[in-house]
Amino acid sequence: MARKLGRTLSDDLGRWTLITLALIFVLLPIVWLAIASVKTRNAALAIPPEFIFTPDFSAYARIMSGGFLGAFQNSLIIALSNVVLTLVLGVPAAFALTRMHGKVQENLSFWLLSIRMAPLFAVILPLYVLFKSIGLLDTPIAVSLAHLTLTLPLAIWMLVTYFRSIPVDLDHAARLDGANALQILWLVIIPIARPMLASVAIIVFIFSWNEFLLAFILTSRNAQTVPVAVASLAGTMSFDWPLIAAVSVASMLPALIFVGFAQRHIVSGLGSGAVK
Amino acid sequence: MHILERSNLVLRSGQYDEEFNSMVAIRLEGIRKAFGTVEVLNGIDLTVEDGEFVVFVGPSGCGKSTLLRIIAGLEEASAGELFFDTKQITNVAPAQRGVAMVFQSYALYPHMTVADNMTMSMRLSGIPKKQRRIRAEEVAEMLQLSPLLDRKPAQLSGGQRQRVAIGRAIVRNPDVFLFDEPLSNLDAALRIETRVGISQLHRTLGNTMVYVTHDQVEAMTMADRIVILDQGQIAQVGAPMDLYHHPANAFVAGFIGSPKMNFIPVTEVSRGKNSLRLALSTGEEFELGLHLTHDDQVVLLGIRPENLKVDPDGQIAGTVTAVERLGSETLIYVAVGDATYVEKSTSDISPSIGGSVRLLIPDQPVHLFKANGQAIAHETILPPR
Ligand SMILES: Nc1ncnc2c1ncn2[C@@H]1O[C@H](COP(=O)(O)OP(=O)(O)OP(=O)(O)O)[C@@H](O)[C@H]1O
Ligand SMILES: [Mg+2]
Repeated sequence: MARKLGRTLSDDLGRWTLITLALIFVLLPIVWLAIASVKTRNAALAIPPEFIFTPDFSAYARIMSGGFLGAFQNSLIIALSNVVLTLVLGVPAAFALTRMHGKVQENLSFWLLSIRMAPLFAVILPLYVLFKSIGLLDTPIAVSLAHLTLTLPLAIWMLVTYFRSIPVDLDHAARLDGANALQILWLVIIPIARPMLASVAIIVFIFSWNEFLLAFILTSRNAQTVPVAVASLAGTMSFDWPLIAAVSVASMLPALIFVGFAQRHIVSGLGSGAVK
Repeated sequence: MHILERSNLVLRSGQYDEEFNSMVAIRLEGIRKAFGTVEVLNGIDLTVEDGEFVVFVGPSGCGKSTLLRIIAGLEEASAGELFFDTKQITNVAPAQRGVAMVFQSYALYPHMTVADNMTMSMRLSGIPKKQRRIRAEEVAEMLQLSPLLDRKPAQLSGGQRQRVAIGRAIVRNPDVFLFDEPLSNLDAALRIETRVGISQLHRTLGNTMVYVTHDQVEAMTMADRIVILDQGQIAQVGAPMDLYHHPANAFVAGFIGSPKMNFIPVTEVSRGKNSLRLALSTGEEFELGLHLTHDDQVVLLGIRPENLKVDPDGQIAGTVTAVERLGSETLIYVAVGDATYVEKSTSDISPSIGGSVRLLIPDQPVHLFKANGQAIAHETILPPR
């Protein structure tokens, strides 16, 4: 008993050391950023860095005054609408691909994924011209749709893999119970696939929230997203390091909240029991 | 499972099933099914009488499940027609056919409680929750599932899941029950118990039931009639003991009965009025007191282990290779040339392994087969009393 206890103790020790190291590695830059955001401009650039200073929250005030709230709003609209569109279009598509049989279905899923293999540069210019000609340039819709072209194939591909693992006997049982295809999807497949839907939502949200290149090309003033706004700060003559840090810290919050919310579905889904 | 003592009463009480259980005959006419270029069913003609318990049996991959799914409407036949009574239902949607199915995997909805699983069909036809609950409780009581109604499938044992799957079928009060190997995921003891339970269910409800299995014991014990399928074709249809005593071909003869029938390759030496002289591949010859009504050549002699005898006067010499004592019976394996034959006896005399014995083939019951595997009709000339 005592020996067993000793072993688990050293086991724990090793595990905690590893976790601590990993946490330091991941969190140090964020902590550094957070500290920088509450320094004055001069203190933030001082070498060697000062560790003892009086916090100065004026950078956060400047987020409000500097028009960053608009960027946050744009980013949220783009990311959330992209999540919704990806799921609304991706789930039925994946269902059709896994539950209907034919030549089309076989080839389509690979073809869908191959869209993702095209380099981003190859699609940016056509997208720019397209949105310009239909007057959507510099709107959140344009960015959201552009993101959708990348997230939808990925989502379909992930969902197809998952839907395949759901036994088709469940569909058969539901059909005998009187369900049509949409009811099978809504009442059987989606509830079972909830953890996967949450994972897809997280991946899509984070992608959209962080994406820079498309947002940069397709927006100028009105629909600027947070990453674009931060980048534009770095370009100005007066290099406002605390402000950049403050925006970066603030931009983490929505993603954290979203992931935390979606994560609950993953955990509760895992707890509700396997398919078989 | 002492299910269903009061089930008739219970079943008639719900509002949901005011219309009476109608019994339905199923008629299959020239049903064919191909997946791509692979022919899985090659023309099935069959009538299942109303109220009958019919078992489809056959080796893995012979098309049993496919045929069942075609009856359910889950699979479309490539050709042929399907009737329930006189109604053509080839193009009727599965839910409208009045069939309920129990799947081998049970196919319970993992995210729903037992009660919701059982009453999904009612939910889909818009029946309010309260009535669904009442119905679920009725059926749960029959199947002793009452304490489990609010559990999810993952929290049930295999046997309980199986009963929920049967419950889901009963709730719908279908005309026809379809079972696809419903017992194959249960352990041996539970399998026998549930087998008895399903037979009981059939007696109480009186519905037409079609049951798929590859286990010939299940087929023999449960069926009114057995349909033996072989490579997408019906090898024979008949009552269990009919198939046992009068197999139409070597496939059926080998499939029904345990241990399997012994097949002894023979060549015909001569044929008298009341006698048939055969030679074994070893060259040994022996005579049977049989009268053949056809002139087809006999190439295979079939004899069940329970009809073979270890006897000093036997026609065939062999060596004992193994003895299995099962308590009520003993199986003796005898090697003759490069074949091994099984003798089943109820006595517990047992020869020693490696010893020489002789096997006695009686005049009857034996089965004779011609080159294409079909049985050859014959009469036994009984010795005068
Ligand atoms: N969707 C399908 N596509 C292609 N081939 C199929 C399909 N479903 C079944 N088959 C083939 O049809 C044949 C019959 O299948 P089926 O499931 O009816 O067999 P079974 O008699 O039920 O066998 P088992 O006892 O193993 O369940 C098999 O050879 C199988 O590979
Ligand atoms: Mg099968």
